[in-house]
Amino acid sequence: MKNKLYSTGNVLRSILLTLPMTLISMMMLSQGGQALGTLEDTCVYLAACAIYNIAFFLMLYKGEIDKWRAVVFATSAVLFSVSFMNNLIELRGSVTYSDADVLSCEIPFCHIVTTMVVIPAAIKQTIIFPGSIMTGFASISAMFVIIFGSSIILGRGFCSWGCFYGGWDDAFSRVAKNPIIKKVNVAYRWFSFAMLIIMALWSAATLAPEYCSWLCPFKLVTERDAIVDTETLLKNVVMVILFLGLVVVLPLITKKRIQCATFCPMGAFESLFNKISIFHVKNNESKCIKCGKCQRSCPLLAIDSKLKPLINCSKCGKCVDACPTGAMQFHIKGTPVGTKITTARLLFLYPAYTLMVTLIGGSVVNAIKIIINLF
Amino acid sequence: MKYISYSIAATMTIMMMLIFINLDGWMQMAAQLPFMKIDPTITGGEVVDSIVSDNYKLWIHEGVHPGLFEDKSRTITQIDIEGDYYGKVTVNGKQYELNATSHDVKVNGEEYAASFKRKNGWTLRIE
Repeated sequence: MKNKLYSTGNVLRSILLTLPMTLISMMMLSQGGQALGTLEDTCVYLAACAIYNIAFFLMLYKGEIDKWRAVVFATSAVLFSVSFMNNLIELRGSVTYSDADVLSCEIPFCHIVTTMVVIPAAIKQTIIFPGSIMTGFASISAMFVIIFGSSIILGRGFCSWGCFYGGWDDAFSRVAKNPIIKKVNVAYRWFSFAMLIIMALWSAATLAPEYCSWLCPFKLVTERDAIVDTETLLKNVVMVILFLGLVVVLPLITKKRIQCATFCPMGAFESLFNKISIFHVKNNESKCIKCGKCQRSCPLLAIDSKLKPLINCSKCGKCVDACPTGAMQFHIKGTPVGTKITTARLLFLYPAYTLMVTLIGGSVVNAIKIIINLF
Repeated sequence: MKYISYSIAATMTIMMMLIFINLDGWMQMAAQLPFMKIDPTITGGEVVDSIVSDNYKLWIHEGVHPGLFEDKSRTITQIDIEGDYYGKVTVNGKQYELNATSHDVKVNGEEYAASFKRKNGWTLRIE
């Protein structure tokens, strides 16, 4: 089924509009030629390019952004975890980390840590994370550049187009056909802002990234503490409970990305960048028929009762797809509302999809190779 | 105004690509930022003394204050030990007797809680 408001209407036009993305994805996924070593490598690379470009083509041809974004986003998130954990096993022989790994500063830096290092970085001029500034596959300087650069461009769009954790939450929020809990109060979105403040202050006080130590559910699909004593056992139990509760069960029964919407401090931090980004989602009130489909469909509790997109919008495009009149639209700040809505949509799609392909795509290529080598 | 906005939006794809294409260059620049160094409470701080022999190596770090506002009443000193060591070290004016083997490390004859096994030895954090 096509979304008639946004569907390009014909195959040729969709192919032509996909071509820039094809060139970008082929260039970025080749990783400077490293991904093209052997025939097998080349085949995997071409397969990954095909997957990403077919999804992009379908976004344009069918006029549905969110559906195809979610397919690629969730698949990429799972494959990222496969690739990440395999990297760790090759590097240190395990997906767990020990005190020795922490003391050697060999822990990959994750974007969520940014929220905890900000205050000590400003006051004490140091980073309170046991990672490497320049080396390793997720060095602190590299992640800083990627996070701040992409957030300035996309705002909280990072959470729906680049976050390799968000894909897990997104996937589970789509499994059930209908939600068991039909309404989740949008006020719960403030919990993530409270988490941001609490985690930033708690981590600054102890000079340790406390969210990573105690509360991050995604350690289950990346790396976690080796269980050596009661404290590490407790940390692992908390991690499993939080993952099952916030990433699996609650998204299943509410069809909302509960971890992203209410718990993730990075989500709240990214929301602040929505004020800077030139792209946002806007409700053209002259076209709005107040049906409320946008609010019901929003997985991040980012549309209020007046059907206005809020600061925590992650630009996933679900409300835009759900809107029957085209009132909810991607919009470029400084341009008239309601004009050139397909242009604004396309201008957002290219950088957002570039982020997804580049940031997670390399891991997807690696993961496909790992899976092939298993057989 | 709208043409400027559309133009800026159109350049964003190139900007996004540039982030990754020139990542090494941006990383070098980011690494020069004044806060881009790991906190000494994690690394142990600068090494101020070392004792090296054929059988062991000992590195004593500068004392660090664990807390954002550097509570001077608490100082933690890290000692890295490689190989078997038996002897005395002086930390913050106090003398400690260390006994480190590949199996365990004892401070003043007792197993030490703040000790961490590393690939080639032990790390102690003495408060």
